[in-house]
Formats: sequence, structure tokens, C-alpha cells
Amino acid sequence: MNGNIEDIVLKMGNTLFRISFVILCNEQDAQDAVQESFCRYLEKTPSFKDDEHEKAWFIRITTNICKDMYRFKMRHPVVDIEELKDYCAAPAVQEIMEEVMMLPQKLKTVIYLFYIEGYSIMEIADILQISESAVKKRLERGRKQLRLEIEGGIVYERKTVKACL
Amino acid sequence: MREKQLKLAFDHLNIKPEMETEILEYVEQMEKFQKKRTLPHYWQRIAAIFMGALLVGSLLSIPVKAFVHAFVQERMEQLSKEEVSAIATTIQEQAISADSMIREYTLEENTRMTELAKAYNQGMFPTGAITEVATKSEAEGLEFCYITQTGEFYLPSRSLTDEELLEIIDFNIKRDYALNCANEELLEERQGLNNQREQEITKQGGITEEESVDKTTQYMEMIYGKSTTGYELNHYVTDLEVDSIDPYFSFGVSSFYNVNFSVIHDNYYFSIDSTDGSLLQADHSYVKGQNLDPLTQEDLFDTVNTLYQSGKELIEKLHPENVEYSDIYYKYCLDENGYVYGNSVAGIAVKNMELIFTQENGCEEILTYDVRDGELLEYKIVRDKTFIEEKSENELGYPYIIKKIDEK
Repeated sequence: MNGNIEDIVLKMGNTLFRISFVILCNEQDAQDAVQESFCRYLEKTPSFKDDEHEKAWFIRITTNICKDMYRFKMRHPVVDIEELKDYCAAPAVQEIMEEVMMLPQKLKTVIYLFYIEGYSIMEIADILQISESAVKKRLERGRKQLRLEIEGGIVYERKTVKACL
Repeated sequence: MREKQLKLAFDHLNIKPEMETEILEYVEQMEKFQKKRTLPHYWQRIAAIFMGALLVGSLLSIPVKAFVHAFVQERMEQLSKEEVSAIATTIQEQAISADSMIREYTLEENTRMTELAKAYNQGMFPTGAITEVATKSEAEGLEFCYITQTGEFYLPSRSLTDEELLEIIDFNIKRDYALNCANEELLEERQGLNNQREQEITKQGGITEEESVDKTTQYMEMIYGKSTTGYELNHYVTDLEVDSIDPYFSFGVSSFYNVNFSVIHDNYYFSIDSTDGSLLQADHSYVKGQNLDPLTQEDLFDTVNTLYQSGKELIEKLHPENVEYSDIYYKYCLDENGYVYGNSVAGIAVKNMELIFTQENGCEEILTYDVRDGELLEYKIVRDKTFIEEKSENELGYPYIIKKIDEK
């Protein structure tokens, strides 16, 4: 499944940048995390079963790198408003992004993977190497903090559409 | 906030094209770099930092104290100002971030080049110089040349002669020298910062940078059984509060000395505790053959004891004061076929096994071996986290198997 590095960067770069930016709240750090993820890829040369496996691997590596960066620098989620403006056309959009990014790191990672990337709880548990109940708890806490209104209930298995928390 | 609004908001968060280009250039650079050199994982990351710095036009990552051998210094000083300036201008005008080669060096060439680079440092210089041409079309018909426009070395399909290898070494050293001259101010600034850090360390009772080099020379002999003669020496201070965000450095110190001995493909890297000169980490580059037979768990069991004896001897040498270890473990992974998993660096696989010496206070010393040939790949000390419980599986999802040393 592995292609050349240019294809992989073009395919995965945006996804990895988004999640890194959400976790690290800083454009430059996000770029460092993305670069580091691709370096890990070059270093490990893993083989993937399919595109989904590849994507999940990259997300896992990137979130781990971000967590390490976050922990190591003991950063607090200080969102750079000026940087966010670059990415948001409207103030309302900026407000939403700011709210998500101000969440604790553990909560926003789960929120992002669930709502933006569309991963199921089971898949998130697998990517983040935590239990499914931990994912559910973090989702619930994240939603509460965001005062998120759910449209049509929470879907456990995105592919099969079922069950509410 | 509604779910749909949340999704829509993040549709706006897209990587900027210029950032994507920078990442791509950086990663491609890393890929090229890895093809040229086989370094252990951690040093690839350091190399990545270095290459990244070059890409953004900064030389801040260049080690501040590069010891140039007297013969080489004399040779470089014989270059006229015009020559030095022309070399620097050529490099700065190149639209590439690093050189490449049309083929990789063979294992034999790599080995010979390392020896020749040591000889170069002792005064063995080439009689001629590699031919430089501007474009690919000018390179037609030449089998050994350097194309300025593309930064490519054209190498013959036959094995390179000693003279040709020396010409490549000479070419690269002249370029480094020219770049250093062109960036003298920046290097001086970096040197000043390094000196400040060293002063702070010694003020707090730590060792000097020179003492750290002396200590490292002893570690080189102790661990690798090698003299440092003929190697280029680089050393500088890393202040973890400022310099690095790499979680790899779990030494439990706020700063340390980096002392490296390098000659082409033969590189040794040491991290030295600035408070007392103790060894925090030792690593080296290695070139290994590919396509080696897979290794079963039983094969590993056969070698564990030998590796343990060798590890124990090294630990005893490093700690003559007789440190007590509460437990000693070995750690490895098996792949889906039941073979010992090893990470792959630039396509060259090593079959890793870690020996972990744990002290009562939680401090762990980790020795990583290639189980096929018993080569010590890395030594490191971990003080501020528990390595043994750090992760239950590797990045490919293979669970780590951790056993006490007497357990099979």
C-alpha cells in the first residue's frame, strides 16, 4: 500500500496538520509534529493493509508526538487568536474552533476524531490505545463543555449507525 | 453549538500551501539523507532537525565547536578568499537543500571511505579534484563529476577508486569550510550562547565542556574499544528547556553535553551529564547487510545470556562503584510470522532486543542490541519515566514481550 513520500505527504498532510493544530494550538508546533510523523514513517517503513490502516497509523503516531510535545514543554492550551484568524473566514467559525481548542488535550483529541474525522468509538480506542469506556467518557465530557447539541443522537459505530450514550 | 457547525468550522482549518511545500521539502530531504546515511533512529531525528534548520536558512543547529585537524586546517587556509567566496556563492545559489548521488555507495565503498576520511584528517589528500559542471547536459560522457545545478554526484557504475573517494571528501570539506566562513557571524553568536551555557553549568558545580570530551574519549574506548584518533570532534551543550522538544531525552537532567566523533559513515554520538560527566546515552551509526535470515524466538533465547554477560560487563565498567539492580529484563517484539521484529532504518533491518537494568530508585539503563550479531546499538539511561511500562506495543501494533533475564 505504501506510495512514494510525496504522495503520502499530500494525502495525509492536511489531516495530520489539523489534528496537530487542534492539540497543540500553535501553527509552528503543528508543522513540527507533522514533519516528525513523516520522519517516523521514513524511519519505520511500516506496511499497511489499506488506506484506512495507513491513516489510522499516521493519526496514532501524530497524536503521540503531539502528546509528547505537549507534555514535554508542559504547554497549556493558549490559543493564538491571530493564527486562528488566518484559518477562519467568519468570527463565528473562529469562536467554535477556539472553544474546541480550549478543551483539555484529552477531550479535544477524542472530540476531533469522532466529529471531524468520523471515527467510531472502537476505532478511536484503538488509535489512542485507551479503552472504549474512556473514549465515551471523554466524548461526554467534551460535549458537555462545548454544550454540543447532538443531531440525531450519538452514533457508536459510524458505519452501522446505532445506539446512544 | 451544533454538530454540523462544528464540522463546518473545521473545514476551514486547512494546511497552508507554503507550509505543505515546506513539509514536503523537509521530508524529501530526510528521505535523501536517510538513503545516504544509515543512522540509528534518534540520530535521524537530530539529523532531521539539522536538515530542517538548513531548509529555513538557519545554521543554528550546526555544532559550535568542530575540531578541524591541523593538516586539514592548513589545507583550507591555503584556499584563496576568492575560491572560498566562489564556493559559498555556488552553494547559496543552488536551488536544492542538499546534494544527492545517482547511486548509493556500496558497503565496500562506505567502509573504504570511512578509512580514507580518517587518513584525510591525517594529511592524505587527493591529487586532483572532482570535475564540476553546471548542467546535466555538460555531464554527458563524464562518469565522475558534480553537477552544480542539481547538486548531483555522478558516480561510475564501477567501484570508486581511493582517489575519487578522497576527491569527494575534499569537495565536501571545502564546502563546509566555505559555508562556515560565510556564516562566521552566526557561528560566533552560537558559540557565544554555548559558552554562556557552559559557564552556567560550571557555576553550578558542573563539569566543563573540555572535561566532557575527555570523559567521552574514555567512554569511546570502554564501549566501542576505539581510539578517537582521526575522527572529527564536535561538541556543544543542549539545554533541554530551550533546545529540544524530543521526548526521547528522558535523562532527568536540564542540560547535557553532546560529544560526537565522526568520520564520514562512522559516527559516534554521546550525551554526557553536565553535572558529573556520567554517560547518559551512547549511539553510533551502522551499516549492515540486507536480506538476512529472519530470527526466531528460540534463536533469541540462545543469545540472550551472551548479550546479558556482555551488557553486565559494560555496566560494571560504567559503574565501578557497584550499583545494585533490583531487576534485569529483556524486551523484544515478535511480528505476525513469529519472528523477532526489528525496526528498519533506510531499508536496513536490525533485530532489536533491549536489556533493561532497573535500579531500586526507578532509574533504568537500557542497552539495545542487534540480536543477530550482538552489536550494541545504543546505551541510554532513563530517569524520569518508567521505560519498561512505557508502552505495551510498538508502533506497528506488535506487543512487547518483557521477561526477566533468567526467564525464557
